[in-house]
Parts: sequence; C-alpha cells; structure tokens
Amino acid sequence: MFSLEAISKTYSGSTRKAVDSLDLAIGDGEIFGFLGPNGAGKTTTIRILTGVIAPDTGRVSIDDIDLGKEALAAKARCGSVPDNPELWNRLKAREYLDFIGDVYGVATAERRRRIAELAGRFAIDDVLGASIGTFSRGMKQKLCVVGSLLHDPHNWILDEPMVGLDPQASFDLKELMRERATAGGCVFFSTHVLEVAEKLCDRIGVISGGRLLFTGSLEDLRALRAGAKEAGEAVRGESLERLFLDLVENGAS
Amino acid sequence: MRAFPALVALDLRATFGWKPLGEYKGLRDWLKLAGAVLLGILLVGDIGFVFVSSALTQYQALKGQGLEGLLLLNGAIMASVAVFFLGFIMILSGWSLSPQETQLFTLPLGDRELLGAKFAVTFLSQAAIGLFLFGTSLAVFGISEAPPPLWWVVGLAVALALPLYALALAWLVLVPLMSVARFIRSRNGILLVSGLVGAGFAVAFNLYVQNSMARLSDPAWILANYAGPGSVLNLMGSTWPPTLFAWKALSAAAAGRWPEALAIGLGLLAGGLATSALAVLLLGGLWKKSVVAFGEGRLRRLEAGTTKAFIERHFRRGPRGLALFLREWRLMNREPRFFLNGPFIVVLMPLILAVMYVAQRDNLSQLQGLFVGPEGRRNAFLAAMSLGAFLGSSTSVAATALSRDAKALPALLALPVSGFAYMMAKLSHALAWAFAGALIGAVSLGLFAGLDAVNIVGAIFASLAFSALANLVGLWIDTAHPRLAWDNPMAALKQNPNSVFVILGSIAALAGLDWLGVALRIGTGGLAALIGGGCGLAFALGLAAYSRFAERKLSVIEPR
Repeated sequence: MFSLEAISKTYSGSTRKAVDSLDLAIGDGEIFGFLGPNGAGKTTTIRILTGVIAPDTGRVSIDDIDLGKEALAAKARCGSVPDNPELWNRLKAREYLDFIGDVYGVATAERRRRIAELAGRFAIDDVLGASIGTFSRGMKQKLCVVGSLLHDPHNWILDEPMVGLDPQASFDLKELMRERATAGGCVFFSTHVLEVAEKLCDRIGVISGGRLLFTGSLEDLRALRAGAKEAGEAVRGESLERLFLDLVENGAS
Repeated sequence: MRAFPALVALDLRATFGWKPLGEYKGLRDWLKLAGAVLLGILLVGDIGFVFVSSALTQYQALKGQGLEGLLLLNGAIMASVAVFFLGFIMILSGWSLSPQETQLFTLPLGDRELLGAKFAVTFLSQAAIGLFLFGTSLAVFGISEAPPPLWWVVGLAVALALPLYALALAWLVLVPLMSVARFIRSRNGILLVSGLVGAGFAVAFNLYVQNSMARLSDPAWILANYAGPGSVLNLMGSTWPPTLFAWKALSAAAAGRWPEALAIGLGLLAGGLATSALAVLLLGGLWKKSVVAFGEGRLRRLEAGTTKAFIERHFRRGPRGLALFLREWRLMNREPRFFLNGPFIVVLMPLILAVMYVAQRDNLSQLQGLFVGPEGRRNAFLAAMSLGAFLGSSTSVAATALSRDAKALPALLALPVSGFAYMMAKLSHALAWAFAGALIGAVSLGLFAGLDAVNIVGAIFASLAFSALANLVGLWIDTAHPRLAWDNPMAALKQNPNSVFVILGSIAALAGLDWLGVALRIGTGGLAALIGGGCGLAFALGLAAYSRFAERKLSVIEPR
C-alpha cells in the first residue's frame, strides 16, 4: 500500500518541477500502471517512492510507514526493479542474489527455495554461476526481477519492466504481477506499452509535465473523455492509446 | 571524413571526461578547472624535476666524454619506448564493446574513420607524455649548448613525430593480436595482460634509468653503452630508426646544416603521419571485427540437473556488512580499469623499489649510513612509515568510492541499507588495501634500513593510522563532491580530481610529518605514538562526524 501526498520535486540546477503536487494512493491487491510520455516524471516519481531521492515537499508512506522518517523499515517492505539492469556486470548471478538476500536478511532455506522457484520460472536457473556481464539485457532484467522478489515483499515497484523481455518472460512477469496482487500485494509499475496497461492494470495513472492528469480505471478514463467529447473536445477513439494521447495533448478536463 | 573532428571530441569526452571551455558556466566550474590545472602543474613539476635532474646528470657525464649529443638519442629512445608501452596499455584497457561503441557502429561511419578517431585520442594523450620525456632532454641540451633558434623548431617537429611511430606500432601489434587471441578477449585476460605489460614496462624502464644513473660516473661504461657501433644506444636506435633520425636531425640542426636538418626533421614528421594513416587504413576493418568479437560473451551454463545442488551449495545467509563489503571489493578489483589504476600500486611500487635496489645496490648501500645510530634509527623509522603510509593512501579506493558507483546508485539507494553502512563497506575496502600497502611499505623499507622488529611494528602502526585517516579524508571528499556523470569508468577513477587531490595531499602531509619528526628529535617510540596516535585519534573523531555527514549527504543526493 502506497501513499504519496502533495509530492513535488525540482532537481538541483533546474527551474522546472519534475514532479508537481502529486497525490496518489494505491491499495493492497491492486495493480497500478503508471503512464506518461518521455520526461513526464514517471522515473522521478518511482525514485521518490523507492526512497532513492527525497521530495522537496510532501509525504510518502509505504504500508503506513513514513518513508521520510523510517526509511529503512519502509524500504524493507518493497521490492523494486530499476529501469536500468546494466549495473552489476562484474558479479556472478549467484553473488548478486546472495547480496540482495543478505541485505534483506533472507534466511538460507527460504532463500534457496525462492531462488529455485523464481529463477526456474524465468528460465535463468542454469546461468546462476555465470557472470552477469555475459547476460543479455533480457536476462539481466529477469535477474533483477528475481532479486526484487527474493524477500517476498508486500509491495512491488517496477520501472519499465517489460523492456528487453522475450514474449514468454513478459507473459510470466504479467502472470506473476497478477498473482501477487491477488494474494493481497500491491504492484506499481511504469510502462510505455499501453496494451499491457490496458489488459493488466486495475487502475492507471497518467502523468505529463510532472502533473498527474488522471487516476482511475480505463472505464473511468473513457467516461472522462466521453464527457470531454460532449463538451466539444476532439476525442479520437476508445482505445487506451487514443484516450492517452487525447489526455496528454488536452490535459484533464 | 567530415565527422572525424566530432568523433575525436566524443572520444576525448568519453575517455577523459573532458568538456569544451564553452561549457564551463558558473564560478564552481571554473574553480574546479583552476584546481585541476594547478594540480596538473604540480604533478608535472614533480615528475619533471626527476626527469630534468636525470637528464642533467647524463648531460654532464656525456659532456665529459664529448658525447653530449647522445643525450638526445637517449631521450628519443626513452620517449618512444614509454609512448609505445603506455599507449599499448591505454589502447588495451579501452578494448571493449561499450553501449556507446555499439551505437557508433550503427551510424554511417567508416571503420577507418572510427579507428582514426581512436588513434587521434591516444596520440593526443601519449604525445603529451612523449613531448614531456623528450622535452626534458631537449631543454637540458638546448639551454646548455644554446643552438640556433631554428633548432627548437626541428626539436618540436621531432618530438611530435616520435609518438606517431610508437603508437602506429602499438596499434599494429594489438589489432592482429586481439583478432586471433581468444584468451585476451576476456576481461580477466585483459587484466592479466595489461597488468603484466604495465608492471614489466615500469620495472624495465626503472631498471634502465636506475642502471644508467648508477654508472654514469664510469667513463668506460659510458663509452660501451652510449657510443660506438656496438653500444646499447646504437643498437636501440638501429632497431627503431625514427629515434636515430631524430638524433641525426637535431645533430644537423645544432651544427647549422639546415637543409639536412629540415629534410630529416620534417621528413620524420611527414613519415610519422603517413605511417599512422597507413596503420589506420590497413587496420580499420580488422579492428572493428575484433571489438565486435570482444563483445560476444561466453555464457557459462550449469550442467542439466545440477541446478538444485548448485543452489544448495552456493546460497546461504551472511552478515549484511560483509555482503556490502564483498560487492564493493568484487566490483572494483574485478574491473581492470579500476584495479590497474587503483590498488595495483600496492603491488607495482614495491616491485619498482626492488628493481631500484638491485640496480643501484652500491649507491643505496651508502644510503644505509644514514640509518646508523639513534638519529639514523629515527630516519629509518620515518622512511619506513612514509613508504607504508604512501602506499596505503594512494590506492584511490576511497577517494573515488561514490563516483565509481554513480550508475548503480538508483538501485543501491532503494535498498534498506543506511548511507553510513553503505559507505563503511567502501571504507573497509579502502582500509584492507591500506593495510596491505602499510605492511608491504613499512616492512620492506624497515628491513632495508635495518630496523628491528619492534620499530617495524611501530612503523606499520603509524603508517596504517595515517593511511586510515587519508582514506577517510578521500571518502569524505568523494561523498561531498562525487563525479556522478560519466560514460567511461576511467572518468570516475583516473580522471577524478578527488583521487589526485588525496594522493598529492598525502605526499605533502608525509613530507610535513617527516620534517616534524626530524625537527622534534624524539625517539622512534615517541614518533609511533605521536603519528599513529594522532592520526588514529583524528580518524576516530572524523569517522564519528562522517557518519552524520554521509547519512545527510546520501539522503539528498540526486543520481543521474
């Protein structure tokens, strides 16, 4: 369960707000898709949510734990997949997973069980002894996914998780996201692939220019745009892609 | 070739973190540049002093035999050899298919254009080294002999020409080698080869210089090694003709034979440019193929049915602090570009000193006279402590700690790890190398100087305390001013001013401590207590303050 209240962030050396007065609440058992054009503020929001950067104003809480005040406890409740998996090329896959396991304090038996299960599911169990530098981008992405779930976190945050994955892995990841939400977990992910968001998400959020333009279900978005059409605005269709483009171009109305 | 200047600028930026002057905006940018220039001047002055002294000694010894002109042949050989080996290491350490390289290969750019830009970048950096080495001989000869002004012009043309030949040779050796040798086509292979070549070159170069210095007072040795058809210089000059031509051009210029001097000097420069162009033309395609082949990873898969046993064998819970330490240790020491330019000094420097000892045994034995008696023991203690402290504080591990992790910060900061614990893993890594450096330095020089076991232990203690403090200062500086934007890892380490600042600062502080140690006239026990205790106390107090600083800084840092 995440809550972001009145979050704003301006990077040092910039005068433009990367995120502007953002309010967002995501409940348990929910898959939330975060959409927006390039430079909209998606990664900045995710970095604030994962505690990588601090917001200038506002409050973030994870499972009712204030991230600003109890950062380590809040972070321990999350697993996150960063947007760039090219990080650990000098480590072997097993060393990376053991590192993540030690950081989250995962017990030996639990660690072995989860690695066997998750690495097998994503078909990387036979390369656990290999150097990450020899992995393809997709394999690195799968490894990050496995690492992010090693401690069985209640909340799962993924930044562009489908990039580089083959169709089977992409399918497996979507299945896993649904399983975790069904089991009561909270899944938050950003994506450019609108079809994924359309089919997978319980709710979506659309951000542009640092401002959250919309949150709700696809039906809510359709209703919103239908209202806009009645008010005389140009609405080009019913697909999420069309609705998204309309929303980003015209803003919330 | 319209894209060529842009490619050179791009490679310079990626390799050295260089940016055009137009991009320096605020006062902070200019202050940083001024600081870097100042440090550069200090460094060049430092090394220049050593080389000018060496050239002066050679000049005086050769002048006595009427062979002063051979100083220039010696300088040309030294510059060519140094540029070849240093260029070799630089080219080798950058041999990889980085994402930037991959993207360049997709653009409509010719293989030769791409290799030409690489060649130009290696030339710009190595020519500076060649110019510096050859320039010291030129300067000593030119100032002492006062040749006509045009002699200097010929000297400059020759100095610029020599690196062209040496680098063309380095590329001509490396490209075919990297195309056929599968062994070298791995990161670890590169680590091994670069390390061995680097250590071998440094040791051989040092052996040559030390040997020459030790025997310059012997006229028979000078005649055997500098003059005559069978001399070492003549042999090396004949093996690598550009050096012989360089010497002939300058000799002709000094004698006022201008047509001959200009023909040879400018011919040498034109020949160097032609040789370089030919190397690029010949090697372009082969180079690209070998770089692409280098990027082909060999994924090691487990045997079918062994996964379960593998997981049982390898995965077990460990302490969080150790996990952070091991991550730090592996990521730095397995990366050749980091290891060779960082902790490797702890291995390399003692090797160079050992060679120095072997080559100059007679002269150095006289030095041992300085270590006799109570004052001598104090000198020995200070020397052993200083060498240990220098090795322990010049590994660049701490002073580049956060900069090296710039790309991984978004992932690391999302983990439930306090900023202090994360930075302590980095300090522990630096201290592990500091301990090795302090031990090797203090013990080796302590034994040479005849210190007893108790004093050696005291020197280790003092040098370790100094190194710990220097590493903490380095860590603090890099935490306060990390270099977070870079494309090439070298920009995070070798071209990181934080590292240069700590190394030069340590040298200055050690010089100050040595002066103080001699001035205070206290015994070695007192010195161990004073330096070790003082640095240890400063380290403990600094660490307490740093813990708050690191937490605060990492909570507001903005990864790129």
